[in-house]
Amino acid sequence: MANIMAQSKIIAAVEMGSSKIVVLVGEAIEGRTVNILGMGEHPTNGIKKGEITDLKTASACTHTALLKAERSAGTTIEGVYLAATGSHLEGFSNRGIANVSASDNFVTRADITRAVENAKSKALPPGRVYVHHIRSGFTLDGRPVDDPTTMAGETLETSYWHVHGDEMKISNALRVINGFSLNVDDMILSSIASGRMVCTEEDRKAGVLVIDIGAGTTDYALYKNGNAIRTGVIAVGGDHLTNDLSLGLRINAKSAESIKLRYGKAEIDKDDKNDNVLLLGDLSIGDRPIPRLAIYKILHARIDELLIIIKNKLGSMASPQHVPAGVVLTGGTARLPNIVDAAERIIGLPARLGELDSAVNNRDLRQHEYATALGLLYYGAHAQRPRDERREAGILSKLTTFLKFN
Amino acid sequence: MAKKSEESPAEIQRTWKDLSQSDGRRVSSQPARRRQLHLILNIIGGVTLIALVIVSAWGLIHLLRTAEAPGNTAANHPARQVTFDTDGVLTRDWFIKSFTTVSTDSLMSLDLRSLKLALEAHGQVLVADLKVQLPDQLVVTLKERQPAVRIRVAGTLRDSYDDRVVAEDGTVYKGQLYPKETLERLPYLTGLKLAKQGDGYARIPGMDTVADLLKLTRSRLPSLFRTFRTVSLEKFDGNPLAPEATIMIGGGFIDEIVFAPRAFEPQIERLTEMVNYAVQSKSNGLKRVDVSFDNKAFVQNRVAVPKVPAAKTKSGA
Repeated sequence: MANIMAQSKIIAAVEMGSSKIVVLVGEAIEGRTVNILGMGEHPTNGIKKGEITDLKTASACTHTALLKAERSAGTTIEGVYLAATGSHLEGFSNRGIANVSASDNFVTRADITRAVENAKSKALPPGRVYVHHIRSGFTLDGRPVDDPTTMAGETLETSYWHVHGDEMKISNALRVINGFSLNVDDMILSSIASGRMVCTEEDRKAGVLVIDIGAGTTDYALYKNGNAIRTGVIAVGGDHLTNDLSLGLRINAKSAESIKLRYGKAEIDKDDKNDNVLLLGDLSIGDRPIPRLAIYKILHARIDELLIIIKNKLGSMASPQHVPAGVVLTGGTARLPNIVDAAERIIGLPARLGELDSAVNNRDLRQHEYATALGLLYYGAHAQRPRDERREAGILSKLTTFLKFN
Repeated sequence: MAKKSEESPAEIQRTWKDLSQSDGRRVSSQPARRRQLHLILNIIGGVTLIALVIVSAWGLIHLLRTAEAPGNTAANHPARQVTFDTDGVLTRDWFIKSFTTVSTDSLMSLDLRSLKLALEAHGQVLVADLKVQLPDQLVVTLKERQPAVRIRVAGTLRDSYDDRVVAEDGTVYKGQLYPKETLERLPYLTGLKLAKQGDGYARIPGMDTVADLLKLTRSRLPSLFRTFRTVSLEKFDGNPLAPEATIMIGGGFIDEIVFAPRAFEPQIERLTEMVNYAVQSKSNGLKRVDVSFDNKAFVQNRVAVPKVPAAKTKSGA
């Protein structure tokens, strides 16, 4: 009977961003389909640069968004998939090696387990907890293999990218969700969640760098062979651009935000030198002209700085040989004009704006700021699939697994 | 450093999933409290709804299967089938004949309570139980009164008389469908004046005591019981503790037996001894036996033979 009846679970994807909290509610049906039932948004207070600075205020905002989403969906959320972000998240790569134990040199499950345990055995400093262990693949006697089981060789090696974060900061994020009488089923890096939605499987296999520029943080993930091999969070985002404009032009934050949205641009053109724009635009009292070049210079400097940081963090990995699919930009700040040109110039890779998975039909949701929440729902739906089915991730699985968004 | 070395590998390799999500230090908010209240109300509403559905379903089934309450006849069909059951002598034909409306009226229009009251007004019927079983069945179950004695009352015509039956609880009623032998075997009740009540007579007090005495006599001395003709309540008003209260039974073998209206067992024992003694001595009957005194039995022979002194009982009286 259980096999006949479709098993479904109402899950929520929660992204506690620095500018707004986004909640999407979906019904995951046997891990094959996600029907988006509702959504809730609320401006953020108490969260800065992706980290909770005022637990009570952040809780109130998140709970309001959750309540709106539940009401919009007309159902009760059963589990939460939470986006993890914040500059406290760090990563390191660790290898695990195991000698093949069988006399005939065929790799067994026990060999794989030993290699994996070896790779995961690195201790963390006190106060740090693991968030993700992302496997980068196996090599057998130095040759990359997808599945080493039943292959012959002498030395099995695996590599993991481990992401860890501050225990207290993660605990605070959990407490916010727990305060709504819900448990966090899984926590997924924002960059991995959005990366799943804005680039294709082929991009991830070839090698692609996904940069999600939010309001408070910029999350990036470098994919190779279908796996995330490097991730990172930089505590710089769209809010810093606004802040820079506010300080540089000596205007308030609200006007600076307005200027950024109306006239902002990441690159400077020759024609921009002598042009002025109006601060308010309606010639009312307090309105004044502002040199367009000044705006561009401020934004250009900050965007350059941000992209340089990412390039430096990735080092030689951010080369056309490693990342043939180039850079994919997403997040709210990715809408800043000419940011793609800036990325190409700084990182030295072809860049483009991410396009959300074609399975997302709803036009309102096909926006960069929802990429992370949509990605969380995808992972949430995948987690609902029966364990046996997940193990058989082959062509059949790829054909049948899809996202269906209303 | 010392502290670090004490930590187990599991503690060092902790993941976020090891962090407690139910440590009770949750940060609540107004929306969270509103949701919690909403969930609680939903649960209460759900439970109430389920209970209502169950109760309604049960009620509906009960209504369809049986209709005990007054006027609860749930169909328009006439009662084509009357199932009649009794622990006495009344019959289905008697019922249909007595209550002709049952077979003509629809079940919907039958007033079961009135029918029940009418049946129980019959005197012979102690309890009447009526049920409707859809679509067209009326089930009648009766518990009848058992006759204890007969009583002769004035008839409707001048100088005529009728016989009535008195039940163990003192109810006087017109016994119907009793076999003739059954009625003839019942002794007549005498020595009292019946009080009128409505169309009938008021209950006779103390009949339960008389019935106990007759039952005991019938079981212990069946031959003697068959000769009983009258039971006189002349000296018994229903109060067994009244001074000098006695029940007098007139019969064929013993012209008069006097009982005290209490503790019948020893009295019957003494009477048995006397009867046995009379039978063994080939007596043709006794005039009077008085067993109403403790441990004593006074016997008076019918013929003029040398007087029998007060016979002593087992206890040596």
